[in-house]
Amino acid sequence: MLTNQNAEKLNVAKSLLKVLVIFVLLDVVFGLLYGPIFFRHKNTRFAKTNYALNQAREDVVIIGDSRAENHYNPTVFKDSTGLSFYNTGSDGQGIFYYKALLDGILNRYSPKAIVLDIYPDKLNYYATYYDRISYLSPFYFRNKEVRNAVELKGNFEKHKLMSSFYRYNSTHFIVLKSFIRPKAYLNGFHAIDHAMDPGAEPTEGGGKSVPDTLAVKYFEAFIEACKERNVKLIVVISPFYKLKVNHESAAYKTYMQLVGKYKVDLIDYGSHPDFATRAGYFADLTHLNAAGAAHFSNLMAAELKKRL
Amino acid sequence: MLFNSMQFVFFLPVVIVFFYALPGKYRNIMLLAASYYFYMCWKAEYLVLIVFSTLIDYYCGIQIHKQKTAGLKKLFLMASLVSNLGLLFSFKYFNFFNESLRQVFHALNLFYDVPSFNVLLPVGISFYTFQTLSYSISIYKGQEVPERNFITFALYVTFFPQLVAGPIERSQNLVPQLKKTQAFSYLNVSEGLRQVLWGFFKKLVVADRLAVYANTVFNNPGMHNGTTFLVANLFFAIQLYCDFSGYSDIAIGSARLMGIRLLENFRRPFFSKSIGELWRRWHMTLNNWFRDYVYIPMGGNRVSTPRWYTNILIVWLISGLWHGAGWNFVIWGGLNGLFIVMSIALAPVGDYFSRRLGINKTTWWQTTLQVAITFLLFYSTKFFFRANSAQDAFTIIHKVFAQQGAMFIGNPANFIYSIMAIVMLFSVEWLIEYRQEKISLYLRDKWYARHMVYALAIAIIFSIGVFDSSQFIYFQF
Repeated sequence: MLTNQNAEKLNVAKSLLKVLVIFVLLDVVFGLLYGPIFFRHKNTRFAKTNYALNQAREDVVIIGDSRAENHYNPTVFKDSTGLSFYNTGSDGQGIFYYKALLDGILNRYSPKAIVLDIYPDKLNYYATYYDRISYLSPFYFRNKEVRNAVELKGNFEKHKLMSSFYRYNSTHFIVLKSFIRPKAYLNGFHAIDHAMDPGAEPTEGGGKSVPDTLAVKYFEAFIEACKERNVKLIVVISPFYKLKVNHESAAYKTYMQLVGKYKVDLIDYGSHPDFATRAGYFADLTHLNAAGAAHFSNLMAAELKKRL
Repeated sequence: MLFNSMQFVFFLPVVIVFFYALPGKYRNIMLLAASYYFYMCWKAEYLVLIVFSTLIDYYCGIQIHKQKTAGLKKLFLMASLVSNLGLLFSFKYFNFFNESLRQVFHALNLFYDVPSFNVLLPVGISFYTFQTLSYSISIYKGQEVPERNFITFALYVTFFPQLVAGPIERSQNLVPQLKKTQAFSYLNVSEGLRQVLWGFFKKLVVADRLAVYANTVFNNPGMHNGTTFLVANLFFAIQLYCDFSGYSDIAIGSARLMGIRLLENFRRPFFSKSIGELWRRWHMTLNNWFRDYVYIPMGGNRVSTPRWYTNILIVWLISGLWHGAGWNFVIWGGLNGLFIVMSIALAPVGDYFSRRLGINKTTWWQTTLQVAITFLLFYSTKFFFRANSAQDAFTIIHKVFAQQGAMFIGNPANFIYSIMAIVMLFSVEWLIEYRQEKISLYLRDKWYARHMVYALAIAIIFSIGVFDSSQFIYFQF
């Protein structure tokens, strides 16, 4: 016969088990219903990631953050070079995401070239680059190439990802919106229509100014992966408005050291005179608008023709 | 160790299991070791400070009680006050006052060369120093006897659920519970888990979600207009509530798992009908501390009316300073004090007009109006609380009045989730405030409904909670 204490403990255990069973049932049903919707929807950053990891076969793939997404117009490149382009640019991402994407692409085919758009201080430590790895969480079980990056978020990440609720965390609105009001992408490129306030001035960045050793490792691994598969890698710093690229920063020097070591092409348009003071080409201090992207893409297409 | 970390998710159950597995006489030793480990996860060196504070107050408490003469009692009380407030001043306020003096001296063209210290604020110092001070003061006043068992006293100071951000406990509440061998109880565990769950909901689903927008706007004041700041400030006000009360819920719930009932710290303050009521429902343990150890010793309201109002303002200025070493916090405190004084001064006027106009203050629209006005007053002070400086706060307020424009949305998904989170929060809190008995009766016999609610809450936390390693706001205090 159970004592009072043991009876209470048993009741607690039963309650916890009931909650767990109900939660697991809800989780499984949610995963079964939402998963197919997630992997079939179009015209969102997740759809672009899915396409890049699982379907892309274009000749040239552009990888980068929102600046890549807004700066490289595949139509302009195709008209100029005759090659097919896909723009995988994704807001707020960093080298961990880029490497995962590259691995997914190279696992299926070898494009003629990869254009990697970089932010000069992207090798510095920013907590958001680690946080935003969560964009890859929905792909954790489908694409093993993303697992190393996703597991950077924490030791228990792979266990948490067993839950469909957690795996698809905060994706619902974006996916739902894609069915109602899809974002206009052109082979992954998104054009911004408006021009910025010409009076805006650049401010200091918020990250530490010391390169993150893990990010540096991933960047080097990125280069090596391209080399191994004979994929032409072109690293680009696309234009900023009035922001002077600091060529003395530790991050920039690290970039230089690595592109020099592996003899990778680096094209620096960061302070290009065609863009640096032309507010009409920018939507804000760091993103070109449609007009700016068209001009930049033309210039870049000429650069790529020389190299490909 | 953050509550919203996997480390804590493992730490807490291990502590609970050991708590109930160990015989009563070893439990406090285990809890003390666990609490020291919990604190050392922040920065191991700061354990020295909390142990120092513990030793001083343990000794002073015994001496205050032991001494026969009032003078000697006061001497040991002063030793406790000076050591605790000295610690607080050194780590938290020295640089602030030093820089302020530097500016005054420079403005007067006088030489001033006292360097500032580059030292991290020990987590929780504002909380545990107040907690130990209340112990010394209450012994001095003869309200309790000192705790002779050092382990029990040290655990009172460092009990991990409430160590770094409260509730600020009173020894009369916590010490007797620590000395008692708590029996395992289904009620304690179920209530505790329920409160922990609600705390995580408030923190992960509401506070951290709203923080994404609020931080984006407040950290880039030059880029946003007045309309955007109005929305960001609203988000911040709710974020602050959910962050802090969420922490308190997790703390109180965690303690309840061990059968220990910590003091209530928040009671749905946004349903208050006056600013005074709001501050009786918000961070209750801090406000009660100021009431008992600052306001009442100054005379409270048993003095002339002008002196009474002055007492209120002084207490609130000090409270502002407690919240942060910055003039924006002092202004914040002063504004709250002013609103309370005005509400007291204008209360007879309000009553007069209500009687003359035959207005029944308990109608739903009256209640809604009072709640809305109270929230507006609270909300208006938050510009100073959130801004990075007093100057930034004034810049933002100027923009609110002079620079309207299109509201910045930022990430639309985040904005929508933020609205959903606010709706869920206030729906649940409204039900608890006005319908608690009915809901309790309904759910009492329907285990499936109760368990479904808990499972759904966990599902919502996993689905739209923010899991980046964000800190609790009140850890800066």
